[in-house]
This record gives sequence, structure tokens and C-alpha cells, in this order.
Amino acid sequence: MLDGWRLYSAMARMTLMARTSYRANFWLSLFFNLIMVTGELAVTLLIVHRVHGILGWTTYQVMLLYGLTAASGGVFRVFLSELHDFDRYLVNGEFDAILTRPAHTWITVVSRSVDLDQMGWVIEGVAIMAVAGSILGLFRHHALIAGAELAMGVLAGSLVWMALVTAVAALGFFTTRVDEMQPMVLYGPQTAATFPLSAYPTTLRTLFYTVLPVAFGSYVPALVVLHKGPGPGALMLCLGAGLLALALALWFWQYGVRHYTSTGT
Amino acid sequence: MTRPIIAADGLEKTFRRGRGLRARVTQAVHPLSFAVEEGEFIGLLGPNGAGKSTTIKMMTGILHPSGGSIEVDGLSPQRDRVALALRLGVVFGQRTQLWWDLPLIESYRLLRVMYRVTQADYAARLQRMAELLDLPAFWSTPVRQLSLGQRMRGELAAALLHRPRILVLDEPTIGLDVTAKAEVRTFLREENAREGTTVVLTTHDMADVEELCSRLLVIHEGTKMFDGSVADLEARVGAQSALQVMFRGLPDWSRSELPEGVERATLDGGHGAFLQYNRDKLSPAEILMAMRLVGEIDDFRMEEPRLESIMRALYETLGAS
Repeated sequence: MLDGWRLYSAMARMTLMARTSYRANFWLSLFFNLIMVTGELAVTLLIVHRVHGILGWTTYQVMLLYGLTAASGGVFRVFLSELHDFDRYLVNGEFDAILTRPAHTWITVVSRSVDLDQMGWVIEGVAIMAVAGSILGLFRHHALIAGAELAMGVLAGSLVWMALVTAVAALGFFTTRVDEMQPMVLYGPQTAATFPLSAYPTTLRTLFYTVLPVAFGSYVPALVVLHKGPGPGALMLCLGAGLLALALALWFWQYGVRHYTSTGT
Repeated sequence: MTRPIIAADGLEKTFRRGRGLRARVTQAVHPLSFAVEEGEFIGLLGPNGAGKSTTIKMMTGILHPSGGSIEVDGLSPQRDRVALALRLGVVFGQRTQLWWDLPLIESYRLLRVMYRVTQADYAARLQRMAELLDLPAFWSTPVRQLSLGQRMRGELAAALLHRPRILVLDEPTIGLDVTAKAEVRTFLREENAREGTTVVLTTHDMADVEELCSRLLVIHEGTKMFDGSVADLEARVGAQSALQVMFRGLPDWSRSELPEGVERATLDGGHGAFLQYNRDKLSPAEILMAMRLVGEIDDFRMEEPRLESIMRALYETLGAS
């Protein structure tokens, strides 16, 4: 565990150092990111506005939920970007080299890139939460507590997304159609999580609390922060669910590694 | 006798391709058993698709065997993959182990952390590698801009930085020019002699084998066909020599029969002949005598038995069986 972290931080540092020459790129992608996030947010809010709030959620409450999802989604985009097109490791046998390294294969793969360009999601997510939270008056009394609750929500969300992206990547050990799975397992639920889950039919809601546990990464933390039912204790449940999901995903990954067949030379 | 550093016992690997009814099962490695002693320089040879790479991948923990067992330095490459990786150095000729976008030297810094090498050891080791492989000339260049020869020197240093007990090389000289090949060979010979590193090498370049390997392991269709020294192999297959004869005018092959065991190929539009024979059974004089009957000899040249022709003869007998 500690070894893994030491290795990860050393490797990530080097990766970042190698990128300093691309600084202009960083600002440019941050700008495009901003346009994308703004567009997405606008569409979400328009929908909420049109249906006069979804099941008792006001526009600004949904905005907060969106910020939470964007920020936690950004964390995995920055740190696990190498898993995004992980199947190339399997298709051309690059994974061979990963297996000859004296570290957990997941750590070795993940530490190969840190995509700072995706930092925009985190920055903008936090900004959106700050704006929505201020308008909703969340920070008026116990500002620190509300901030901490949001931070825990982002953390729980990050764990859930990390678990999902890891599980999707590990599917690559068994099928060559990861591209088709990604929208279903990752991007679909991610968009879904920007709306209050109470808006969905029971089957979908059950799915989001179990197999694709995105509820613990955005909806439940938002409920806590907005005082819509569950108390702060639910945040611990969310973190626990996130950790459990990641542990299961990593187990699935290890199971996949056993089935890695490499390529002929 | 000490315990072998690599021991394979009834090792097997089958691959399933496709799913369901269309699934095809191919057996890449049939029960294969062999042992490598510490400090040996062993060549793993065989025609394409013989199972060399699959064997190497099971040795390094990349693939899980379908049957049998393999033990490397007392560890299971699959169960103790991480522990073994610290004692293994691996070079795949067709694929880089370095960080493509980083200057070569940065790769070494990363490897130091990854393989838990102390600063002092790292400095000493890197200095030695730098001298032997002339690394400083190009180590501030990003790996993707290196020539193949430079990259291979970089790969070797990377694989040996942590003083592995076993070095596994899969076609390390592929695509290199003669100078680069010679440099790589000299370095490997030196490393094996000085550090006592056990080396397992696959190659299609017989000069690599002649210059480096103390022992050969020839596999074909996943089974062991031969295990022994180059001299042993020569004794088994026969020392294949060749004689090249050029005639003045076109020879008339109906005038004399070739001695038994000579294989003839035509050279230079019929004006010449390339004759392969077993030196233990025939003398060149006997062949030349027969040649004088078919035409007027203008010139001839003898070629010493080379591992390349020996291997070709061996592969041909394998293919025939």
C-alpha cells in the first residue's frame, strides 16, 4: 500500500515534469473545458427550469448536484486518464511490460499519466458548488461543516468513478468491445447522476445504488448537504460504499490479469 | 548439485481464441521441461511460432501456465510476480520498456524508485553502464528520438540497473546494424562473466548464439527438440559445410552423379553450384572430383560449417517429421 503510493507519487511527479513544455496547451484545454461545462450545466438547468424543479429540487440545488458530479468526475479524469483507452495495452501487448514491473499492475498503469488538462472539471465543479451553495445560503452559518461535507461528497464520488472506470478497463481482459461498454457503464450513469435520482424509475434507481453505485457519489452526499433527509452519518456510508466499490473493481482487475493472453510476436 | 535457477516441469500453455462454438483451442506449449543453472548463458531457439515467446512470458509472469509448473529463483512467476520482478531484468527487442516521451536518463530515475535501488548503488551502477554502453552521448534525448541501436543500449542498461539475477532477452538484436549488434554482444558477454547474471536469450540471429550461448534449447511446436551445446548440436545434425563451385561454360549434370548426402542449388544462371554436405561423412575432395566430370572448374570456395546451416538442417528435419 505504502510502496504503491510512493511509487505512484514519484512516477506522477516525473510525468508532470515532462509536461511543463505544454503549458500553453493547459490553458487552452481549460478554456474549452469551461465552454463544455457551461454548456452542459446550461442544458441541465434548462431542463430543471422547464419542469419547474424536479420532485422538489430547485434549480440551484440541481446546480449544486451538477458541481458535485463534475468535480468528482474531474478527479478520476485527471488521475486515471491512462485507464480511459486502456484496451490499447491489451490489443498490442503493451501490458506485457507492465507485468514485468515490481508493483501492482494497476498502480503501474495509472501512474503513467496525470492529465492536468482535465483539471478544468475539478476547478469548475468547485466553482459551481461555491456559487450554488452561496445562493442557497449553505455557507451562512456552518460554512466549514458545509465545505467539509461537500469535500467528503467529492471524495466519495471520486472513489465511485474510479471504481467504475477501473471495472470498465478490466472488462478489456475479456472482451474487445470496451468502447461500447464505456457509455453504458460510465458516461450514461455520469450524466444520470447530475439529476436527482428520485426522478428515475425504481429499476434504474436500484441499479444506481448497487451495480453502478453512482448514488453514493453525488445524490446521497447532495441530500446530506442540502438537509433533504439523511444526516451527516450518511457521508461515511458513501465513503464506505466508494471504498468497497473500488476494492471490488480492483479484485475484478486482478481476476482479469490472470486471463491476459498477451499477443503473438 | 545446486538447485537450478529456472526449472520448468511439464509446462503447458493453451490459448482459446474466440468464444462459444467457434472457439478454437491451440496448444502453444506442450509439456515442456528444462532446467537452467545459475550463471548460464542459454539460447532459446526455434522456428517462428515454436513457443519461445510463450515460454519466456510464462517465465516472467506475463502469462499463466495452463498446466505443469515453472519456478524461477525459487519463486513462482505468477504467484510471486512482484518479488520476482525485482530479481529479473527483461528486454523485449520489439517493444520498449522505457518511457517514450522522457529523456532516457529520466527513465533510469523512475526505475531506481520502482526497483527500490539505493542512491549509492544507483550511482555506481549507472556510471558503469554509462561507460560500457556510452550512454551520456544520448541520454538527455527523449527515447522516441533515439536510433534503434541507441535505444537498445538504453534498454539493456534499464534492464540491468537493479542488478537482476536473471536477464531475459527476447530478440535483443532484431533490426540492429552490425556495429550495434557487436556492441550489444560484447556488453552481454561481459555482464554474464563479471556479474554472474544468468541470461536467457531468444534470437533468430545465429551469430548471437555462436558468440554468446553456452547452451542451446531448441523448441519446436512447443516441445523440446534439443538441449545441449553448439558442439553437441553439430554432432547430432552433422557439421554442415558448403562448397561453392563456378564452371567455365555450362556444366552437364548427366555426366556424373553427386556423392550421396550432397544437396545442390544452382548459382549464377547455371554457371555455378552451391553444394551442402556433411563434413564428417564426405571430404570436399570427393565432391570436387565429381564436379570435374560435369564441367571445367573455374573457381571454388569452401565455407566452414555455420550454425545457421546447422539450424536450417535441423528445422528441415523437424518439418519433415
